Amino acid sequence: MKRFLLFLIFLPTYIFSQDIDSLNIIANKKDSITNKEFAFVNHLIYSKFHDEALIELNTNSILLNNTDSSNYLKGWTLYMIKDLDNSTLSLLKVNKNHSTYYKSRFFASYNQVYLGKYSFADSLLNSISFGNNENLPLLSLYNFEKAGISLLNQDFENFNSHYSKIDTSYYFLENEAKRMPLLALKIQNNRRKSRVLAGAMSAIIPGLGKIYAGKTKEGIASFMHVSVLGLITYDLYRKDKKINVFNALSAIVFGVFYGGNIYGSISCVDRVYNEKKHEIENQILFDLHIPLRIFFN
Amino acid sequence: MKLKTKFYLICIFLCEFFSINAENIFEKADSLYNIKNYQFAAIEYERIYFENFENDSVKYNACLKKAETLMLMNDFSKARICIDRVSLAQLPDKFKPIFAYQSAFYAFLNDNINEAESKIYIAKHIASKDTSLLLYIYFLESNIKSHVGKYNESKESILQLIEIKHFKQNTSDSLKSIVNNYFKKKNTPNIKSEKIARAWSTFLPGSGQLYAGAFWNGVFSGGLQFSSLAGAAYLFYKQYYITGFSMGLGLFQAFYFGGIRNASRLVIKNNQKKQIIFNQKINNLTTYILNYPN
Repeated sequence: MKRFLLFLIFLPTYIFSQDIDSLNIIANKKDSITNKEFAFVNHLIYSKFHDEALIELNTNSILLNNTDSSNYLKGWTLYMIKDLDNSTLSLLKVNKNHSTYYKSRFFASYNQVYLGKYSFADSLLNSISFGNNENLPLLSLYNFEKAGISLLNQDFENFNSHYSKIDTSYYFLENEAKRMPLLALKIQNNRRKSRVLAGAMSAIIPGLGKIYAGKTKEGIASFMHVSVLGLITYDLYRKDKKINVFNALSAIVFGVFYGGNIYGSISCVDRVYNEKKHEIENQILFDLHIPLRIFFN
Repeated sequence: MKLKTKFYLICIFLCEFFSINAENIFEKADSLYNIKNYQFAAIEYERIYFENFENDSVKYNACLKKAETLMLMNDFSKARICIDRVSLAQLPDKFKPIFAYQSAFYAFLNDNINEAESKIYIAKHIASKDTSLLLYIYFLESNIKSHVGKYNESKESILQLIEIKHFKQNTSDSLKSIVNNYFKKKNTPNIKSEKIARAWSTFLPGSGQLYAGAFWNGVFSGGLQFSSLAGAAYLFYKQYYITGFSMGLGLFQAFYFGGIRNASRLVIKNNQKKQIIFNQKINNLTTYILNYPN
């Protein structure tokens, strides 16, 4: 009787524990299936079958239920195939508690930097929630990216403020951080030359405006073209000493080329300035990218 | 495109060499393949490759099937990635010949002809005892050699193909005579030298184009150069020295150097045209021999 009572007392406990075990087994099995599916998508990305990875992420119900991981992988795949706007959208859907949150935010921001949307990129960095996270390398990376964006915006005050917070001893940004002040200097030194002066110089001596703007070979070529046309006009006029169809036509052609050369010299000033600016911006973009890839690898 | 369609058939045929006893593993992927849902079939073959990493036979068969599926989707570069990710050295012996062949095959389809040439050489050596595969190797080799302009080697490959097909003596002889006729000097593309075309145009304006086989182009180029010189002379005669010098001679030098460049471009273009026609002929011939009943 005593044994029977004891049996009755422990029976529910036994049944309950069995239930928990079976639930744990189901949960573990589900986890293992999910992990396997994510491992497969990772394998597809690693093997450069990006289209297939995207199809799998968009159609596999197991993956779709795990929104954070699947959004991260979708964003990462789109980033790999340079569909940067859609990559940003997916990466921004990754929640704060997910292990890839910081990586997602940083790369979403970088995507926008690459697309030239600097203020949006900056606001994305601002939206990163660090909470009590005192991960110093991460904070250095954050300030590095902010400094880079400030530089692209030519906001030197903000650049100095963020740059001073970077610990340049970290291996992942050591070289790039050291190069950044030099790039800032290059931006400051890249001043647009005077358009009026370039135009006036080309009006006096054809091609001189282009040489002043920094395009010496173009300037010499322009000088040759315009002066030869001028000489032809003179030559055609020299013999007859009166205006006829040929020398009039030649004078018109000369006039067009002469005026075109002045206009070309004025636009050359902008072109040279933009080329230099573009070159520096490309270097900044490159430098912003490398530490991200190293840090989150 | 027509050329590539013929290669599809060969590849599909080749994959049948490696049918394995794991039908249930391939069931889903194969059924997707059979209903021509190639995109999802490719994913399923990749899943098999991924999930059976320890099982060589299943893994490498999945890889071959996936490459074939990608090829049917006209995605030759991905098909190549699929095959080339497997290192030949790590492959089990029975898979080495087929992977070596497929690697050359996809390099060829991706227009990397020089790479295909070196890969088919490796495949030929690995598959030296596998007669059934050697048929396709010689077929591909003859086409590759024809593409790189090594016509004698292309001919040798076709003759080898005839040899290992074991035709009856009279069939073999007649096929060999057809092949010999195809590769007679007068029937192979007469590849002209770019250097010679440039030299002709340098010394006699327009003659480089005539050498390249473009008669009217040569007449036009020569005419332009002579008339610009004549124009310069006329202007000098009329005492328009500056105009004569800058317009006449300026135009002449532009036409002269342009004519040299044009002759060189024409030679390249005409050589390519001749090669394409000949390569198509070789492809038709080799396909005919390959499918000729024993």
